[in-house]
Amino acid sequence: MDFLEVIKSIFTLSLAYATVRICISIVFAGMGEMITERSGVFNMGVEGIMLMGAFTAAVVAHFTGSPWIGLLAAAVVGVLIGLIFAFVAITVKANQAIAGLAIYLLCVGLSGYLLQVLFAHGGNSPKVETLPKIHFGFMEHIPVIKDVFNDQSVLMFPALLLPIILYIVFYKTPWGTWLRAAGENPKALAVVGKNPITIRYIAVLAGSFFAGIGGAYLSISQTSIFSEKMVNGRGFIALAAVIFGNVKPAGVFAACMFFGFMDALQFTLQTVIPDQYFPREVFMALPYILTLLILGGFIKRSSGPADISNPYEKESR
Amino acid sequence: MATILEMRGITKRFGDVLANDRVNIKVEKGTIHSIVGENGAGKTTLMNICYGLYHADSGEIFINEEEVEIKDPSAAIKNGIGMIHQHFKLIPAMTVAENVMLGNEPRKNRFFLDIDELNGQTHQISEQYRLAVDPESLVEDISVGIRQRVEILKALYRKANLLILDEPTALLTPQESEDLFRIINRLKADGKTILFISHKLKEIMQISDRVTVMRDGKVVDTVEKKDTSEVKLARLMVGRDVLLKTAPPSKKIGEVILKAENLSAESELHHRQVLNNVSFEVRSGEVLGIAGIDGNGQTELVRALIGLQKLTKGKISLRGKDITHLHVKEMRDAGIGVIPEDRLVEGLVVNFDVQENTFLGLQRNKPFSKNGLLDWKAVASNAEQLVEKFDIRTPNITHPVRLLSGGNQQKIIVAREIFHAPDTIIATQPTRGLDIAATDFVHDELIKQRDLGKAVLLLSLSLEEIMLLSTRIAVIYKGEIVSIVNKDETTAEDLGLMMLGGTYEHIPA
Amino acid sequence: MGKTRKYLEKNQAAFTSILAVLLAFIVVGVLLFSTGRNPIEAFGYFMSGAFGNTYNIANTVSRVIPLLIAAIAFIIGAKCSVFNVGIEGQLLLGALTSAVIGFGLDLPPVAHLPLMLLTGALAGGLYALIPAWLKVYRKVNEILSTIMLNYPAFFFTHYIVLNVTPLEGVIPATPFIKESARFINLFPGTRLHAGIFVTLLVVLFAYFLLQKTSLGYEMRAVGLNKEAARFHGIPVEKRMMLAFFMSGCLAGLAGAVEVAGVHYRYLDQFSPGYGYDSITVAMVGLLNPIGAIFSATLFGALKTGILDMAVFTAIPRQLVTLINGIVVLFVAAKSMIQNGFLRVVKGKQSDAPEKETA
Repeated sequence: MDFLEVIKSIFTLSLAYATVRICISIVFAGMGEMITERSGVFNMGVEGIMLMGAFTAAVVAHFTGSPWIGLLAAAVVGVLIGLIFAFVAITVKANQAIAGLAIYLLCVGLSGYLLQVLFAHGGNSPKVETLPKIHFGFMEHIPVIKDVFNDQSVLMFPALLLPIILYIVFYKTPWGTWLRAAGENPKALAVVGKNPITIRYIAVLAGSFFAGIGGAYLSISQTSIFSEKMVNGRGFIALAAVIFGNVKPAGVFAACMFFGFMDALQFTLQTVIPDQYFPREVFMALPYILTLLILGGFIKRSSGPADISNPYEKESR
Repeated sequence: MATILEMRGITKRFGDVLANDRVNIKVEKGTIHSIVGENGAGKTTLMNICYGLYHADSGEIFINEEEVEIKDPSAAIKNGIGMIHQHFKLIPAMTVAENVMLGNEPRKNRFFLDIDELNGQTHQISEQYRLAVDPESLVEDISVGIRQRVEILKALYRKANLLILDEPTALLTPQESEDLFRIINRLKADGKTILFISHKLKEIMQISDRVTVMRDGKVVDTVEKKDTSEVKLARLMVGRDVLLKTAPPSKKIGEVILKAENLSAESELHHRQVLNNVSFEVRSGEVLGIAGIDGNGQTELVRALIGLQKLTKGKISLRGKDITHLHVKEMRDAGIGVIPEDRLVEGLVVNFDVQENTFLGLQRNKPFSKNGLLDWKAVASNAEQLVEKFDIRTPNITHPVRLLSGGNQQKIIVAREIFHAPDTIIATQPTRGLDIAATDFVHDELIKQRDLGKAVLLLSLSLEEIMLLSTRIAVIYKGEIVSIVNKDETTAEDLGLMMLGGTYEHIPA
Repeated sequence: MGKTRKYLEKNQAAFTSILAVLLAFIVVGVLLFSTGRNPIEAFGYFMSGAFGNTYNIANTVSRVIPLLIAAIAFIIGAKCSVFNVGIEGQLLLGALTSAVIGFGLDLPPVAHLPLMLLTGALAGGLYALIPAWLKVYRKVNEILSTIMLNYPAFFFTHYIVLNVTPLEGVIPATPFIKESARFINLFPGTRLHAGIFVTLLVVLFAYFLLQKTSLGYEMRAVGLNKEAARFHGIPVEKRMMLAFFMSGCLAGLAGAVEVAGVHYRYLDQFSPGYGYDSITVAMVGLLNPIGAIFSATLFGALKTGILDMAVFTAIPRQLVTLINGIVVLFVAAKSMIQNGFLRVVKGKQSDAPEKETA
């Protein structure tokens, strides 16, 4: 095969379409985790919450026949799991990384267990109805745009708007100021009569809400089925994106897009380059390896919130 | 005169410690009322209760002669109370105005911050009380003295009538303290009431109208300033006649032991110059004090002297032997002992027990270790000895250090480092947070070592401590040693001015 | 009475841990019940599956072997503030490497088995150096990096057994290792093998290292307070690298021992999550090598017991991961359990809880 031909067959508009399609779930999870981390809490359970979100969405969609109710249920379940994490991490002041790990294991176990209980076969749910795709007539005539953004999931719009909304909330509203203050120096908030614990709770719940939606997107929009290994590290990649993007909306969004692109590329390479030339396992491992390379090699020490991962202690002697 | 604040029968217990024991205090409107007492006398606890950060186990609080319940800081704010904490509650990454307004930001269209209003209002209050603060500077860029004024602004913005200042001069130079007192008097003239917490008797006598003395969680007495004196207050405060003593002059000053020549270093993060041609020598039998405001290179200097800070240039020698490029362990083994600035962070492993802490840093030295194996018998017998000799109060040597009092924790460090250091002791903030008895103990121990012929380098943010112990005093400013003088040939005011870089512009009168 | 109280108070950490496990089992019981399963019946099958007869007991012990070695791997890291969640991946690589040595070489038994274990350990250790470097020199959170590195390890081993090593039959696996590379079976008809002695050596090694050597003291000091350790001349970075390497080596060893004692070949996806289970085991064992013996026994029993339970009660095996998650959650929240425990023991409210600095 001609080298140029190969390159051409890789970098196509459908790769761009796939990038957007794949990054949506990472954007939801990453934006959610960014909110959480801005308040000074590090929630490593995102992967698990996404998994439960995906599971819940598919199950509820299966039994009600409505993916919309599934989406709602996924968000609710996300918030409930977030509540458990918040209680352990904020109220009990447990080590946040370990609490996050526990949430991850718990969700892997719970989704696997309930899947067996409900459907009693294999690692998959039955096929379910998906959320609608949006097709705009006016876009049909705009080259590139029509190929990349048309016929994407309805969830693309909130995903693309979220970074902008969060930028405004973070830097232009009082709540954003309080959120950032909770992550920088919670005691400064406490002495002006705002409870940093409440703010951190809200931030964790908001983060889990979006992680739940990000997970739901996978099972009721990107595909139409839940499978046990469906999230496959996307939650961890979202965590990396938050670090990579310096816990700022634009940066995190760009990082999520980049990781989405890596994943799309990986899929494309698998199809374009036959297995006998190059093992597909290499491509499958690529996103993880690249993420680590980026975390380790290209970033300066990030300047995230000063009080990240520290439990808030009231004044003590 | 009207009473603005009255606290009646306040009792607060932490575990086994009775921090406040049936405390009664009455503060008259428009006065400057001081509360004095040693560290641990319960002053700060009482004020935190008043501000709603703690809840009293029993007792009542009256504001303007009406009983109130202060369950959190917002209740305190509503009742017109403002508190300026000893450790500022500011967010370095935000601007002055954002800090001042935090939690009560002016809004436009209900949802959005009104940045113009934010800066404008801050500017206006700053002007009104002539605080000379720029609303748009980042807090991380301004000095300690100005940060304190930001805290005062915060309280004024929230319409506080009663301002509590907790140890406000602890980190200020004499000049900055002067300014603070001017601001306080201005506030008083404006009808505000000031509650001033301190253990520095001199300034209490300078500024207060009335003084309440606390000891061991109880109020000992409340007196009018005009009826009392420093000596009388000290006696009330400690229960006996003690003021920290000035150390006797050095007996015999010998050869140069520790010598630093042209030490220069840069910060890791921004490559800012943190040490600039620092040179000094410390001789056997003397204490060289290094005075300076926090953040002027003291931390880096100590780290350089024990091999933790990379030098861009310069030479360190011990008894004439070049030790500049040795590793930490080798430097320490060469004969330098260090009492670090934060005992909980650098000095101790608080989750280790007492005996494990008594050989931290010596875990590969005889007699504690042979061929890489620990000799727990040797460790224990050494620990027993140190506990006995330094009067470390612990139930046994396998008691976790985190459960000991600050004074006893510090004694473990002092014991270990003195045991360890044949030549030189570097003491950084050696009495931070200790009560008078423990402070006295540490001071005595340092002077004892001096008189045994060791070289003692003392770094302290407390100018008072530097003046008490030093033979000679060096002033560090922005990473440079600006002057080295004999203790007898200088005054606190001169040193304070040098600590500020030689010039200081007082706030407009 | 006073004596019991004192005893309970002194060993509060151990009791807290036991309470955490009990609470987790109660939660799981409720969950079983609410999904229409009978928890009592399940527990019965579980007990008989794990301890019902000597065969089952021997099988339980054989499950303890990889769990305990892997738990010690986690402990050695955690004591030096290195949280190695990548044990699963390191274990897979160790197992594969050792299997290759096992079937690829012809050596006398004295050399073959030790060489195989050694290379397995080394493979795990070398793989662990990646997250170690990332953490120590690039400040990348090691929990994140090690979890992510489990994926490439999984893909890599999968690829090797499918495409590189000769396939025998339909199951993706390497060829069987030579007789000279196998542990002898101690109890025919079960999976119990002589690797149990290696396991005990590993526990002793960890205990000795941490308690009796200068190196272990330094590692513990780094684990509890890096700044103080650095201030007192302990090379913090080197110790953390070493702890990570040791942890990885032990993880690799756990995989190698499984190959040499149970499967006699590298079987794709042979590990039922030993790497993740080991974290739970280590934490329930209070990061103490001796404590880990007890918790590994518990979770080994869980592993065998759940098999019978799954067969007879239609309770899915995924329950084990779920139990792990709940146990870790309760162990993470141990300060809450501890306060409750002390309140009961002391008979009064314990104000101002001790501050954790770990």
